[in-house]
Amino acid sequence: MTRPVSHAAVIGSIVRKDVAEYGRDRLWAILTALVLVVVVVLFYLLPDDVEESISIGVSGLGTPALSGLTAAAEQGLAPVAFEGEGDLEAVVAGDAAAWLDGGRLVVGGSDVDPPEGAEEVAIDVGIAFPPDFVARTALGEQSMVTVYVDAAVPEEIETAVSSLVRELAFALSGEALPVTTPDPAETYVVLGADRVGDQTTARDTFRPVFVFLVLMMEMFVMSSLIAKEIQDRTVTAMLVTPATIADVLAAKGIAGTIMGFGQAVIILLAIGALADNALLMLVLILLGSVMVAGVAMLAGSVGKDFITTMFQGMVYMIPLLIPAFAAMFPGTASIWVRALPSYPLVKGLVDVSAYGAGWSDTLGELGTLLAWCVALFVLGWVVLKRKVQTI
Amino acid sequence: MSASRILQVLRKDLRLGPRSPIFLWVLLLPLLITLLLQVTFGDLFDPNPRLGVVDRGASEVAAAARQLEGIEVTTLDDADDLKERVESNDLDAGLVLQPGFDDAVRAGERPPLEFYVGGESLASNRIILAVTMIDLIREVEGRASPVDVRVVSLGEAIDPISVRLVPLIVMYSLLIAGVFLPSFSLADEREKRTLSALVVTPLRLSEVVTAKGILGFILAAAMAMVTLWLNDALTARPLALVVVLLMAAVLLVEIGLIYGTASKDVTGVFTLIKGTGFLLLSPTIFYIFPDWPQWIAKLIPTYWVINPVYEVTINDAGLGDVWVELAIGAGVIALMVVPVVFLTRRLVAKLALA
Repeated sequence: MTRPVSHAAVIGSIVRKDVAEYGRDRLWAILTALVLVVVVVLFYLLPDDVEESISIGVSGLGTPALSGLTAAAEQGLAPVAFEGEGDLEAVVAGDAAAWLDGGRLVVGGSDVDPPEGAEEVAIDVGIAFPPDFVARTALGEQSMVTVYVDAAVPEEIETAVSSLVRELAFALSGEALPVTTPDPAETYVVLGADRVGDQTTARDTFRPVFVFLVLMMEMFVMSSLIAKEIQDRTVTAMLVTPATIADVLAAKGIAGTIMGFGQAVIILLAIGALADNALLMLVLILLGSVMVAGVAMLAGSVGKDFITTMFQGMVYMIPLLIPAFAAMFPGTASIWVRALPSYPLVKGLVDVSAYGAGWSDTLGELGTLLAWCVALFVLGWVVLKRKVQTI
Repeated sequence: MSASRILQVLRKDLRLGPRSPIFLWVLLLPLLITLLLQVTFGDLFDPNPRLGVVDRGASEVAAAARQLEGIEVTTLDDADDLKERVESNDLDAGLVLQPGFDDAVRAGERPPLEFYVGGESLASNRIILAVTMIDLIREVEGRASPVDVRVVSLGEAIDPISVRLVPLIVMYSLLIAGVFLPSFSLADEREKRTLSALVVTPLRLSEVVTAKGILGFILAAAMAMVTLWLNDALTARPLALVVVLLMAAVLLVEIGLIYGTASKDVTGVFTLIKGTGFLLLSPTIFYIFPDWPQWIAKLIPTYWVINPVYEVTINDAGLGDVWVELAIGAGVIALMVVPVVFLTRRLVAKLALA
């Protein structure tokens, strides 16, 4: 009378049931949609470029000296020539605004409409040279230069601009640098690939964080669904059907992986992170989804009420989120951060999306991530299995 | 309403409450948020140029560099270590000062400058660090500058990011204790049907709601105070501080009671908090970005209680300086009583029907 049912069919049925249950759960359906929308909106609100230069208003300096100042500062300084000291002071004080209209500087009241097509320039620091500054300095005569700074300008910029003025005066008076530099045109040696003009933008930095947040959200959803099944004991009901405990656990893992992977792919597509090395990105995300499914089984095995499961999820989520936050900062992560399971995932995502790393560059991360996936999935499996067996 | 019955419920919640993870959230989250926002994001929003120095000859340049404001200076022993850190972007730049460097500069020998910048350092940081270092070396050289520089500061200074983050952190503590605690507690009791059991006793539902509110209020005010202390923002005006914190706690508790009485279960409360939490916190974002149009923040009710907290704790304002905000805040609090009463009555009716 009974027809044998394959394990694959049983697992497939449970996965379909879990996905359908997820869709029917109003809370998680709303929150998932909300997180996806918020993440995409936030991503596009982030700046897509890096402002590397300090805009400085300069008055009283002729074109040759101004060019000298620009050349000396290279890309770190963006001087904007003002006709008079009064305009410069008013703009720095915020009493007037400055616009660049086809290379010509226009200054007007801050409540005046800008000229059509003109671009506003933010000037927080201004250097007012006396009109005879170049001639007097060349003759070795002392002169006075006024540096106007907005009170909000950081101390180090104020100090650096004053130093810059002094160094310009030394150069004009024919004084050589008090040190010898390896390159006459450069005071420093650049170590590593020079990324001036090609810096990692805020969008690049936050991209893996957003993807990871979506995976974490999925971890909450999955753990909550598992906990509910334990609490309601529907999981034991399933075991009186042809489904074995291994089928149920496999189905939970697969359902969690599918849901996490699906949402992460949506995010990757929405934020344009699949343009390069798409396959590598997808593999990283797939491994990340498996890891998160393992953690969800672990967190869900507590099998208590909503709040307890949420709290349990938070306990796992906080350490897993640390590498994602660490990735936002320059430099190498600490050893303990690198030891966290989510580190290879975040590092891989950053390297691929921000630095164009390929398969060979990320082999180490892929290997470590795979090892963590296996470890966490097996751990989640064992803990959940024990829980189901003891209900 | 009976005060003794309210106290009884309050005592029960105080006794049994710590078993719930929500209590742990209330106590731990202000600490975690302070750590996360102040230590982590403080540096992210407001990074200082990072300079490493290897000083092999007790140079005055190294000593002066360590005194610089706004530049994060790290002293290292090994030049190779310094170069490695610069290259891996753990430092923006590195300076190696060999023995006798200062004497060579003073003697006009123009010693080699060993100054390295990282490929990933910003151009602005390179120019800041490079010209500042050259200026420090010029000071050692002892040659008089051919120019006098006069610095004129214009406009109003803005608070550092660590200070601008304080309202967000305080608001978060108030939200967790004032909104989370009473709302989850009410919804949890409703879900587990202990609320139905309670109202068949002489206890009235309004008394239960009041007790939950008082518990949230006490913890919200206390945790806001603790958070201010953690952020070194306790003011010298205790009366003003107490008044503004109590008002903020009352408003947040009212919101918590609205959520708790409007939701049929814990997941409903969670959805409401997740859906509206950002709106409640949003006025505090405007302190972080002072360039944004500040009038938008005034459209959110929580602005009228968090701004007095900000003014009293950060700007050392007295009650006289914030009375307008407090009056509007009191108006908002009075208005919020209406939905709390309405929803409590509705809940009574629903429980009676159930």
